[in-house]
Amino acid sequence: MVFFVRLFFLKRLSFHTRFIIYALLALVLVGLGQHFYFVESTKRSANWAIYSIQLALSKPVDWLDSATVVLMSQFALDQENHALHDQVLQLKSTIGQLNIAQQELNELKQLLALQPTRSSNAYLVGKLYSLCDPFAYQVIFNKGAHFHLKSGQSVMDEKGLLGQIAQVYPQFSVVTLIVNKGQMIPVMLARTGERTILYGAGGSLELPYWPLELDIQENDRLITSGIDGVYPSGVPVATVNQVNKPEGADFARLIITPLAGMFRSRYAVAIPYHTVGFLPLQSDPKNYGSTHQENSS
Amino acid sequence: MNRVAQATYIKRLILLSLGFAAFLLLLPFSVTWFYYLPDLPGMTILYWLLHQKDRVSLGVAFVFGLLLDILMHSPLGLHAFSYTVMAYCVLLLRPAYILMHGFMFQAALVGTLLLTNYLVVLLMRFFLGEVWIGFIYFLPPLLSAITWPLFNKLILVPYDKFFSLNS
Repeated sequence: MVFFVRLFFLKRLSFHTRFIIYALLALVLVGLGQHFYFVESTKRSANWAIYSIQLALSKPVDWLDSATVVLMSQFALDQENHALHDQVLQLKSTIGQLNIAQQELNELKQLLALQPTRSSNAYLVGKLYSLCDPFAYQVIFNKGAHFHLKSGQSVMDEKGLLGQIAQVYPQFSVVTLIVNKGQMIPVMLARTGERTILYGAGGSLELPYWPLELDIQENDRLITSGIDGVYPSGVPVATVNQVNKPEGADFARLIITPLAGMFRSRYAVAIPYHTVGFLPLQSDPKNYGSTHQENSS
Repeated sequence: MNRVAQATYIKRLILLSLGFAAFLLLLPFSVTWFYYLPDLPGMTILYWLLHQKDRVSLGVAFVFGLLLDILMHSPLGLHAFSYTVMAYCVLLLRPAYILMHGFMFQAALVGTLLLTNYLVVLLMRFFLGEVWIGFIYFLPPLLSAITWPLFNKLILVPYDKFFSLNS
């Protein structure tokens, strides 16, 4: 054992040679990690232990949170309670109206022989914890395979779409935020119904191919279009902050900010897969794999 | 106080301090908090590279970098490479020569070394297709340079306590 450790640390060689060996080893590791999955999968099994430690370490912070609730004044609690009560009333009345509208929509869709819209109430609320790598736009969601979460499900916070579940572990899962590089979300401009794809650009969002002549204004909302069947339709995603249409350019330059709090959001909801109107309705839900099973449960 | 006990104690102190610095990365801070904290893992490995170059050298820097890669979820080998480069720079400059100078010189050098380290990581990240996250990325090395003298005092607190009790 000691012999192998000595061998690894290469004590006898000069430090120039040792530097070249270690540097090459590290570079080879980086290269392997880019092209072969096994490096990533070995790291993922280590990740499970690390995430568990992180969740355990965040427990004292949670206790501190609950302690502040105890110390909050009765008056503040009462006020908050009233505000929440009002909100619930408002939301309930809105939901009532929505249900009626949904019924009407489904009747109309039946007339046109389209698949009715189905909604699921199997939403799962959980807490979010952030990681320490500034380049990984990922957060931990404290619900996992025990709650039948599946990778690919979308996650939103109270303001808008937050991301998508990337890996599921038994007790928790890892959520990739929508601002992560390479993340693609099929969206639609809420005002005009124009459909497009929104790209995550590492900390921000991009809408790179928006033709100059197409209508878009500041403060326009982008909502998910639901075309892919992964993200449910109608979830608010982002607002358009700035519209620049420079002369001679082929596409408009848009500055788009996500609505969700990203790293700052503390609670989130995992939404089951939806199949709103785009997959044919099957008599046997099992034929259609996980997407339909989610809805039927 | 015999030399063997001292040697084992220093070994333990090295392992403990490196482990502690890595462990701090797991604390439930938000990502944005880490921009306003000095780069503790980098400072710890630099301290031991300077003061214990027979025990902590390229190999330990490489392994510690691998550990950080796993803890920080960065591509495996990224920090291993940057820490190996940093250790090589320290060895080229000669730890004894650096330690001859006062804290001001040391702090400036530590800042420069850590900045180089961050730059290497950033360049490799760019190469792997990541995007620029702003100049705030370079704040931790500067904070490390400012807190270097304080760090030197703090890291030896357990050592001093142990030997004042036993001598």
